[in-house]
Amino acid sequence: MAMRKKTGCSIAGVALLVALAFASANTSWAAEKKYPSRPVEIVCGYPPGGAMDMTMRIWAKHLEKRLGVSVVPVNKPGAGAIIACTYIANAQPDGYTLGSVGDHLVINIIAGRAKYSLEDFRYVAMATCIANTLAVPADSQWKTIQEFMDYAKKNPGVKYAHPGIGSSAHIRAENFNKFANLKLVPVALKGDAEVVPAVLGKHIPIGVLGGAAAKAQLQAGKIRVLMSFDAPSEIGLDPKIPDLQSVFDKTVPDVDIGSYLVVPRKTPDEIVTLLERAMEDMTKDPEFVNEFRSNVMKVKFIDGTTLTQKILPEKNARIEAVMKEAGLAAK
Amino acid sequence: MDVFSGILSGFQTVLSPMNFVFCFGGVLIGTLVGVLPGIGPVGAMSILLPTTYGLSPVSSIIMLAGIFYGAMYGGSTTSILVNIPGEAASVVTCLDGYQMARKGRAGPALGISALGSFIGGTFSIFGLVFLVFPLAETALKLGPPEYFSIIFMSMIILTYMAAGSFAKALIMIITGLLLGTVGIDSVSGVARFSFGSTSLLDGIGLIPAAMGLFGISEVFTNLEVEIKRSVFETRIRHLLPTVQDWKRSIGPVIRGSFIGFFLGILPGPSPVVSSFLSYSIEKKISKEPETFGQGAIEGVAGPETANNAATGGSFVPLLALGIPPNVSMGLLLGALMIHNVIPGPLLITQHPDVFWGLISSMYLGNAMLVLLNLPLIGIWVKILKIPYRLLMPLILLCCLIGAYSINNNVVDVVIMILFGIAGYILRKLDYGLAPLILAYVLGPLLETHFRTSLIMSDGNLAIFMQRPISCATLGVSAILLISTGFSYYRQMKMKVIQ
Repeated sequence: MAMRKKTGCSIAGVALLVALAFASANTSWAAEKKYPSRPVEIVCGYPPGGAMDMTMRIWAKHLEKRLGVSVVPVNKPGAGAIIACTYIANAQPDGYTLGSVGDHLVINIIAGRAKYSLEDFRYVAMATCIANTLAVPADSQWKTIQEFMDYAKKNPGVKYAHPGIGSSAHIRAENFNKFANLKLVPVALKGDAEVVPAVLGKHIPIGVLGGAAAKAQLQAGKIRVLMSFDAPSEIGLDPKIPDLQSVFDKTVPDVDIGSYLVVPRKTPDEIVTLLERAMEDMTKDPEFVNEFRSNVMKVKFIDGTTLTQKILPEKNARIEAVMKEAGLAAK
Repeated sequence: MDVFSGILSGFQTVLSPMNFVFCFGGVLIGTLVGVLPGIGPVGAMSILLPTTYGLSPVSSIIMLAGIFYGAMYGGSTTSILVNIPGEAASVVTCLDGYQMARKGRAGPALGISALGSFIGGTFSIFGLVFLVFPLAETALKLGPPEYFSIIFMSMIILTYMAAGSFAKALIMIITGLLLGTVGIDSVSGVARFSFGSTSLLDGIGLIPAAMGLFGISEVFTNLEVEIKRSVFETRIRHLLPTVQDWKRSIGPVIRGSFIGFFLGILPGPSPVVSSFLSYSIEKKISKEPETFGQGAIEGVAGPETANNAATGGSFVPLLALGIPPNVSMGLLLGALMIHNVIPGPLLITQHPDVFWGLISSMYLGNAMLVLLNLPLIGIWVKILKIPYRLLMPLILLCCLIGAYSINNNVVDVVIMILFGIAGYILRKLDYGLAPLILAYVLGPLLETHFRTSLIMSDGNLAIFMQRPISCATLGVSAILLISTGFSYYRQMKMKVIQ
């Protein structure tokens, strides 16, 4: 009996400790001082190693210099970035929780899966874009994008591989599919890591590859990039590769994939302005630009007001249209 | 640069004082992370990634890789000592390793696990060095239909690992398959069984589920039983495997090395799958299959070797093609990219120091790990002497914190506790837990590859037979099924005659 009591006591003690740990995790002990006065957390919704994670980490490294405190990158992967976005939406609006997000924030809302809405966020700025390319194996029958488009129109149902439902590559490819009337069939895979072998091994004739993967394979002569969605010179690819604009003479709007810094809606204006200025400064730093270019991503700064008032409503409407057409939008 | 000069230059790189220290640091952290339940190598690698910004690419990758394969060594420690899988690839080690510990043979279990890991790791590095490019080219020939067929064949082999009543194992497998469907379906984007919860959109976490099913249920089981000292033999007889142990283990170790290495090349959670597969195969070809689950050393030697060999195999697609086959490799890819080294087919020519330095560091790391782990066995077994009334709450605390540390999400802790209760009930009713975890890991892969294959073929089922590798694999599966059916039929006939 004594032993039972002791076990009970130790378990009660442990439970108490655990409860205290959880309780204190939710309370902020720090007194309010000038911002920023303690480390800032930047959150990304993807696991370490991918383009979104790289974006967050390079931003964190450069923001540290400008904010004067350490900026800690945190990965909260899961559910197509919903977990991270929900976390940011519910975080304290004190500028110590930042989000490095892409259009997945909006995509999840359109797909009807998100528990947050656009009103929960405030876009501070856009700083960089992720590049995507359309690639085929080096010995494929299609040597130019025009050849591919002609073939696809004559033979509806050509399969293309993309890194995931609702991913930027998927949305862009579907956008292209719709405007060029190519009747392509998407094959969903998990990330560039599955798209590259699918294309190299000729299991799927064409794939949408992220910039870095495309460049690595291109250099080794294993793939042929038929088209880049962004201007190739901006992302460090061979300028002879046609981009979406040159193929369609600016009549087809692209859905370019930006990476934005977001904060919870109620974050004070002074903090937002401070962050915005830091981001702008960062994008002008040649070292920053070089790092992104070597990772085959584009640097492009758009300030928060322009974003929220002009760019985003229009882009989100286009994303919604593409998703509805592709059957991805919530009913 | 041919292989030998490459290896020599690699050793030159890795034996420089700084790289040596980083290699040691990486494997040490990896071992610790493997021992601690919850946070796995991916978590540790991502936390330590920023610290590598100022280092050279070679040093960073040496350290981060060390964490990865080091965790495979450490993960078995808690599996053997307290039946808690330190990380997913060590789940199988719980089955026989813990039983060995209960019989006072924790030392040999830990020992064979460390030595098997060393042999498996070293074998896979040899394979990596000599076969990396041809293997990668071969791996490219495998597409979704082949992946489906290979996993299908694996599942058939894995049914051998079911102990006891087959009907119960089947129920566990089906439950595992059903649990695996929870989450956003990757082919259609539809959320299944998430009940509106954001945290379930990614499925039920494997680590919290395994920790709960094995570890927490063990804690509950031990709490209700009046602990008699004699039940858990704490008199440690030997600290190292005996010659007898070695004789029994050498086969599993060799087979595990091959299984692990070749499976590691394929995409997916290869350390986990190869450990399960090794266990099944050892049980199937063993002359005493009943001893499995009661403390058969083959059930520890094989899987532990396999999961370490798989780590070497996972480097094949990364180093040869720049394609990461699993999440940990994806992180290494990211680390390389942060240092402006873009992995691809040209890595060996553009950055030979990274390529050869990494490979040589793996030799060194494996050697360090075995030297680190063997003397620690004496310390680890002393943990078993802590009285249960102190040990169990400590384990509970470690598990609770560990489950939270995976994603900083309380839902993982809740899942772990729920699975703990479920595991406790299942054990009382004498259901084997391993088939559940297995089906849970393989089910989603099977389904995704099947459906992707059908999309590729416009719904035509013939695609699985039209492609030679897939057709051959399915043929072997059919033969396995028929032969098992045959032997069962013969057994039934014998019973009837008697």
